[in-house]
Formats: sequence, C-alpha cells, structure tokens
Amino acid sequence: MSLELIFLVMTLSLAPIMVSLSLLNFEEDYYDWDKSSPYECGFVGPKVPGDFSSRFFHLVILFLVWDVEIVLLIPCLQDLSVWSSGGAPLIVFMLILAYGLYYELMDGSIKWTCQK
Amino acid sequence: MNSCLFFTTLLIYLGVLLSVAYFTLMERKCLSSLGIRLGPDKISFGGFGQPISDGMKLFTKEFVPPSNSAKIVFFLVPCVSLLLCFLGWQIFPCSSVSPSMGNDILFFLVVSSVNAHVAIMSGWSSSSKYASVGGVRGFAQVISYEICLSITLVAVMFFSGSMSFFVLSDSGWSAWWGFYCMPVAVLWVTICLAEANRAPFDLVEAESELVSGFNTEFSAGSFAGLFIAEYGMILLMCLVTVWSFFQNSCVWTVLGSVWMFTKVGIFAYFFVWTRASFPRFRYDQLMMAAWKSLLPFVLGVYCLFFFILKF
Repeated sequence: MSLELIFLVMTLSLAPIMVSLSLLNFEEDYYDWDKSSPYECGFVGPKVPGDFSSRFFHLVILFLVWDVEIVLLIPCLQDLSVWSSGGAPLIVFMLILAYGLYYELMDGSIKWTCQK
Repeated sequence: MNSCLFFTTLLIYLGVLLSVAYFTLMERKCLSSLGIRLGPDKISFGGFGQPISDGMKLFTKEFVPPSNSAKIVFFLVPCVSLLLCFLGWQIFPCSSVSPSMGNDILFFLVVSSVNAHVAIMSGWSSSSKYASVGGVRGFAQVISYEICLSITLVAVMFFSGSMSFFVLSDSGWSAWWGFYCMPVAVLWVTICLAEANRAPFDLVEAESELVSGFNTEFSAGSFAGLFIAEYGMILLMCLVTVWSFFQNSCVWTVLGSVWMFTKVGIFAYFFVWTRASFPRFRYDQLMMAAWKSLLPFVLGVYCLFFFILKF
C-alpha cells in the first residue's frame, strides 16, 4: 500500500474517531424532549432557518467574484518576474478590480447599517 | 523511510493535540494575569492537569443532537473541522506528504478557505436561532477577510519566489522578510486575528451576544472537536506567520527549532494578549474594516510589489 493511501486513511479516520468517543454515551431510544430542544428559555422558538438574508447572499456572490480574481492575481506576479511583458494587462485588471470595489461601495450593497 | 514518515505524521497529530490543550491553559492563565487574578491552579501542581481533565470531561459527556437538526451533518461538521486542522498541519516539514509538496503556501490557503464552511454548516445544522445567526455572521466575516489573506500571501510568494516556504531554506533565510515589509507583516497578523475569529474580531462567538455562536448546540466530543480545530488553526497561523515574516536562519538544527517554536509561542501569546486588551468590533465596523480599509490596502501592497518587479 502506498504511503499516501495510508496517510489518507489515517487522517480521515482520526477525526471521526475522536469525536465518536462521546458517542459511547449516546442512547438513541431515550429521547428527552427538553434536552434535545433548541436552546431557548421556556418557549418554543420560531422555525429555523427563518428569513433568507439577501444581504448575506449578495456578500457571498461578491466574495465569489473576488475569489476568482485572486486566483487570477496570484500567478500574475510570478509571470512578471519571468517575462518582461504583461505589465499593462495587469494594470488594466487592477483598475477593473478597483472600479468594481468602488462601485460596490458607492452602490451600498456592502453597507451594513441602515441610515434613514 | 515509509514507516518513519508515518510515525512523524502521528507525532505531528499528537503534538497538535497537546499544544492545543496547553494553549488553552496558557490562555486562561494569561487572561487571568492580565486581569490581576489567578488562573486555574488547583489541579495537580499549578493547574497543569487542567487541560487533561477538561478533555476527559468533554469526551465523557453526553452527545445530544437537537431534535430538528440534520443529524448526519451535525455529527460530521466537527469531524470535518478537526480533519481540516490536521490537514493544515501537514505543511510541517516532517509529515508524510510535505517532502513532495512544493506548494505549502497554496495548500495553507486552500485549507483556510475550506475552514470557512465549518462555521456556516455548524450553524445551519444546529437549527437553533443563535447558532444560525452566529454561523451566518461567522461565514460572512471569514470570507471577507479571506480575500485580504490571499492577496497578502502574494507578498510571501514574492519573497520566496515560489509557492513554498522552504525553497530558499537550504541556504537559510538571511533576514526576516518582515523587516523588508513591516506594514505587510502587521497587516498579516491583523488578518490572522480576523480569520481565527479571535478578539477583537470575535463577534462569531461573542458570549455576551449570541450565547455561543455557531457552537451553541454542540455538546461533548463535538464541541471538543470544534474547539481543538479552532485552536489548532490559530497555532497553524502563528506558525505560518513565523515562516512568512519572521524566519530563522536555519530551522533544521535543534537550536533553530527551539527558536522557531519560541517565536510561535510569542505569537500565540500575542493572540491572547490582544484578546485581553481590545474591545470587540461592532459588526458593521468589522465588515467595513475588511471591505473599505484592508482590501484597498492589500491591493495597494500588490501594486507595490508589481512596481518593484517592473521598475
């Protein structure tokens, strides 16, 4: 068996084994409503997940776009040290990034307080 | 050779677990000293048995999944979290995969990116109000600072010339890379604090606000798994900080290793010290800091390195 396979099996099994140590006390047939209800004091809370937060979703889309831009940015610096060309497209790319960030800030989609 | 690497990987895991345990003790003692009181000192000689007894307590308590939860996901999230922590520690040079790994920096980046999902999945699968709000907040915070972290790592790649920390280490690192770019090093430490959900960026588990954030409903071994994973990632980030900006001249001697781990310990103490020193950010201040201040700053750092390379 190859080294990587042994390593993979060992790593993948170590974490569930550690967490399962507490499963030795787990009795499925003893079902206590109070112990397994959500954390609240004395009343049954609203149905969770509640409302969908569109501001959060917008933030995640923004992060996704920036993540792809990072993936493009990381090799650019390596390329610059090797080849003498490629500076001008990178400047244009950075300008597009900067303008995108400025637009998002002005548009208010990453504004987190509601001002009247 | 194979079995030797196998045992060194096991030693890394054991070392991480013990380090995390005693890091919690150090944190409690330091926070107490910074508040002019004694920390835990009752258990066996000055409190040194405290983490072990805490661990034994956690692993013998009862595992209670909430009734509405997605039970399989609820069980798997701490396992995945702990798995990611151990995977991240494989960049340590004596593990079984690191001899063939020429891209430590990229691997660390990938592991910390996947770590963001632990917060949202644990919050969602708990199906409790506090947990889901904490999970969403934590995820939003981590992904916002993840961008700044990735672009700051470009600075490290610039100095190293490749995607690995150890390409230049045969000849030894001649100086701290942090001396050449001290603002970037300060920026990196700040972003590590934010990524690790530590004070002053710890709104995710702000005990005064959200009971316990995304780990409200996790009981015994699950909570221990999440906790060990969180502190393991903190120690990993301290290690990456030392390797990126504050290197040794030679790591592969005994004295060099001792000095390297001393520096890791100094950064771990710095994490605890900032927790005791600064009040928590408000949530909109936190997000504005990421998007309005830090992100343009890291883009400026990137442009600076671009100009250094071109002119």
